[in-house]
Amino acid sequence: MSSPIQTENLTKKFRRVEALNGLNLDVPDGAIYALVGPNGAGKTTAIKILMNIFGPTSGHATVLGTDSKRIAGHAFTAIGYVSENQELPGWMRVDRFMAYLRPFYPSWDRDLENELARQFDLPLDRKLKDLSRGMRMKAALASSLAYRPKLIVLDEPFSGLDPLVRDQLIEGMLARASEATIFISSHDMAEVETFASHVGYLEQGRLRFSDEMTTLTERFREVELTFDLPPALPEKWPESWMQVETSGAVVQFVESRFNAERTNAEIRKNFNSVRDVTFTPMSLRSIFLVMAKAGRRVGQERGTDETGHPHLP
Amino acid sequence: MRQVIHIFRKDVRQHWPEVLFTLAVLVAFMWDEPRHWILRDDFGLSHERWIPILLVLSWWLLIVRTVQSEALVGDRQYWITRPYDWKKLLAAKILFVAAFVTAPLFISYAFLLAKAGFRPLPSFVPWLLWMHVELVMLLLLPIAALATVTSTIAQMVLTVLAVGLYMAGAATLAAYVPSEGFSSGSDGVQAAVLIGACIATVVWQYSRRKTNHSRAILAAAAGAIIMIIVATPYRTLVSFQYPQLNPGERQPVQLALIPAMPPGVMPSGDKDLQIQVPIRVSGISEGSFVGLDGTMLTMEAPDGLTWNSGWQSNPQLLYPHQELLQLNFEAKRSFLERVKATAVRFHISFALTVWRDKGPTRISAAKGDFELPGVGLCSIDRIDSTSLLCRFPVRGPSLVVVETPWSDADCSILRDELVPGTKTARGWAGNSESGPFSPVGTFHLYLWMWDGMTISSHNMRICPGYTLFFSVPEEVRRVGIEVDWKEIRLADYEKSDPLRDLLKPHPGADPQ
Repeated sequence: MSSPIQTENLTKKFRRVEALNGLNLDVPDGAIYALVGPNGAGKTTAIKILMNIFGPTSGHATVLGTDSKRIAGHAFTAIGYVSENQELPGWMRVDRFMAYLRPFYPSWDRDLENELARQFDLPLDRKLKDLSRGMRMKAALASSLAYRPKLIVLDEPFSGLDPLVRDQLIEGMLARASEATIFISSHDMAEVETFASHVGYLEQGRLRFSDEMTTLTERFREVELTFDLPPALPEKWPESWMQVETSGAVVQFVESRFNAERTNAEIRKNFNSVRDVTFTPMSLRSIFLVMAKAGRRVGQERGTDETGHPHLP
Repeated sequence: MRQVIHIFRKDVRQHWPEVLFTLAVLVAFMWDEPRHWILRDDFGLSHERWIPILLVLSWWLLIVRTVQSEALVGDRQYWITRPYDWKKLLAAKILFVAAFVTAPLFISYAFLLAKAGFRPLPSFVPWLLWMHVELVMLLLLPIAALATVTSTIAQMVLTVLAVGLYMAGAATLAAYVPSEGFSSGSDGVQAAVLIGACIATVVWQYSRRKTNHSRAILAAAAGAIIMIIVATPYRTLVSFQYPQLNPGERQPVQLALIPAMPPGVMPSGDKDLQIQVPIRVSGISEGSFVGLDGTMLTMEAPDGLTWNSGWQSNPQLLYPHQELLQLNFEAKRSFLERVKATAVRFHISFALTVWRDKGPTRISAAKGDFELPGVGLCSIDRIDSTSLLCRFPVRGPSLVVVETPWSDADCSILRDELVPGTKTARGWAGNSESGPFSPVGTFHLYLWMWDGMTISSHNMRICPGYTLFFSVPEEVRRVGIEVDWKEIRLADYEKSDPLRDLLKPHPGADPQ
C-alpha cells in the first residue's frame, strides 16, 4: 500500500515569498508524523496544499493515493482535518453541528460521537461561537474523529491551549491512532515528543530532516570529553560533530551520528589522551535547537546542497 | 439530492429571520402596489416607492447571506475540508433562492394579476416566466456573483458601492458617446457579457474557489462593457434598424424644412444652445400613424467644420393631417459662434416607425374601470381628468392611440360623437412594459386638444359617459429618411430676438 501522504519537490510561492521549497515527504501508514518547525516555516502551507486548500506552485503530492489537487468532496470522508484557526459555523449548537455533519459521512459512528462528546466534556447545547477556544478545538476534533477517518491531519491543534485541554485532545487523538495515520504540525517540539512516531523538521520552507523518532533520538548525543590538560585541537572537526565548544581541559559537542563504538574510535583518532567521556541522550527539543542553529549556519555559509537542502551531518 | 436538501434545511435554520423579513417586504409590496394602478406617483405616492427598493435589498441580503454561509473566499472555512460536493452545494443555494425569492415572487405575480382583474392566469405564464428569468439574470445573478467573491457583508457592501460608482461612471461616459442613448443595439450584448461573466464567476468559484480568477472575470466583464459602450457603431446599427427607402418607394411621410420659419435658438446651459427646427409634415395616409423615434442633425460649414448631434430619442407620433412638427437639438455654443456668419448646410436624419391603424374601437368612458380590448383596463385619472390611467398584464401595447371630441364643458354635458371638422383631443402611449417586480404595468394617456398645428390641454376634461376611440395600431415597418436644407447663414436671423441675443459672444464660451 502506498504511503498516506507523499510529496515530491512540493513548492509554493506567494508572489515573491517562497513558503515551501522542494518538500519531499513520505508519511508511512499508521504513523503519527509530527511536522515541526518554527513559526513561518511552511508547515501550514504544506498542510493546506495536502488538503487542496492551496494549489502547489510546482511539485506533486498524493494523499491517500489521490493527487492533492483532486482532493475534494467525497475524498474528505476519509480525512479528518482540524486547524487552529478554522472557522466553524458559530451560530450552530454543538449537537446540531454534529447532526449537520453526520449525513456527509457514510462511516459516521454515533456511539463514537457520543463517546468523544463525553471524553471532551462538550457542552452540546451551546453555540459554537460561545465556546472557549479550547472547547471549540475539542468540538472540531470530535467532529473530525467520529467518522473514523483513515488520515487525521491536525494543523497546530494545541497552540495556545491550556495543558489540561491539550492532554484531552492528545488522548482523544491517540485513542484513534491504531486505525488511522496522524499527520500533525506543531512549533512546539516538546508537545509532540511524547507521542510522535516520526518527525520531520521544516525550516524556511525546507525539510531539514525526516526520520523515525527512535532513530533520531538514538542518533544524537551530547558528548563531553575531559582531559588532564587542555588538549591540542585537531585542524578539522569530524563532520558529525556539531556545536563543538572547548573550555580549558573540557571539550563538548553534539554527535549527530552516534554509535558508541564508532564515536569512541573517532574521539581516539582526534585526541590522544582523553581522561573521561560522557554521552548524554538529548531531548527532541535540544536536537531541533542544534539542528536549527546548524541549518542557519550552514545555510549562511554554504547555501544549499544539490538536493536544495542545506547540508547537514 | 439528499445533500442538497440537507444543506438547504441548514440554510433555512440559519437564515429564517432574513427569509421572514423578505417575505414581509413582499407582502407589503403586494399590498401597496395596487394603489399605484389608480393613483399616479407624482400625486403624493412617489415617496412610497421605497418598498420595491427595500424588496430588492432584502433579496440581495438573503442571497449574500446564504452564499456567504459557505463562504468561497478564504482558506479557513470548516466546510472546505468536508465532503461537500460543489454541484450539490450550488444546487442547494439555487434551491434556497428559488424557494424564498423567486417562488414567492411568482405567487405575488399571480396575486397581483388577479387583483388587477386579469384572467385567466395560465395564459400569462410564459410571459411571467420570461419576466422572471430577466429579473433573476439581471438583478439577482450579479449579486450572487459578487457574493461568491466576497466573504463578509462589509466586503459586499463596499463592493456594491464600488459597482455603483462604476455604473455611474459608465453612464456618464455613455452620455458623451453620440447616439448611445438612442440605439439599444448593444444592450443585448452588454447583458450577455454581464450574464456570461456572472455565471462563469459563480461556477468557477463553486468548482475551484479561485477568487482572484473570478474577480478577474468580473473586472474583465466590466471593462468589456465599457468597451462595448464606446466602440459600438451606433449609427451603423441605426441605419440597419431604420433602412432607407428603396428607389421608387413612397415615403410614409413627407418631412421638409420650412424656409419661412428659420431655426430658433434658445439658451441651454452655459456652453450649449438649443436649436429649434420647425418641420412641415404631410403625406401621412389615412389609417396610418408615423412614429418619430429619433432624429439626428448635422450642420456643415463650407470650411468643412461639422457638428453632429448624434441620434437623439425624441418620441413623437405623427397623425394624418398633421402639418407641423418642431424638433429641438442641443448644440455647442462655441460651434455656432464659429459658423454663424457662414452658409451652413442643415441635414436631418429621421428614424421612423410606420403604424397601421386596424380601426378604432369605440368605448364609453365609465366612472370606474373600463376595458380596453387587447390592452387592459383604464380609468379616468382621479386627479388630472385630462388623462386616462391604464393598466395591462405583463406586456403593454407597442402603441395605443385615443381620440375623443374636445370638450371644455363640465361633465353634465355629454359629447358622444366625433364630428368631422370639430376639434378633437388626442393622446398616445407606446412601448409600455411591466415589471420588473409587478406583472401589472401602467401607462398614462394624456389628451391634448389638437388642430393639426398646435396642441393644448386647455380646459380639456374627460368625463364618464364620453365616447373614446381607441386604436392599437400594428407596426408596418421602420424606415430612415434624410432631409437637407439649403445653406443658410444663422446670422441672417439676428432679427429674431433669441438669435440676436444668444449668438453674442458669451463670456464663458470657448473662443474656439
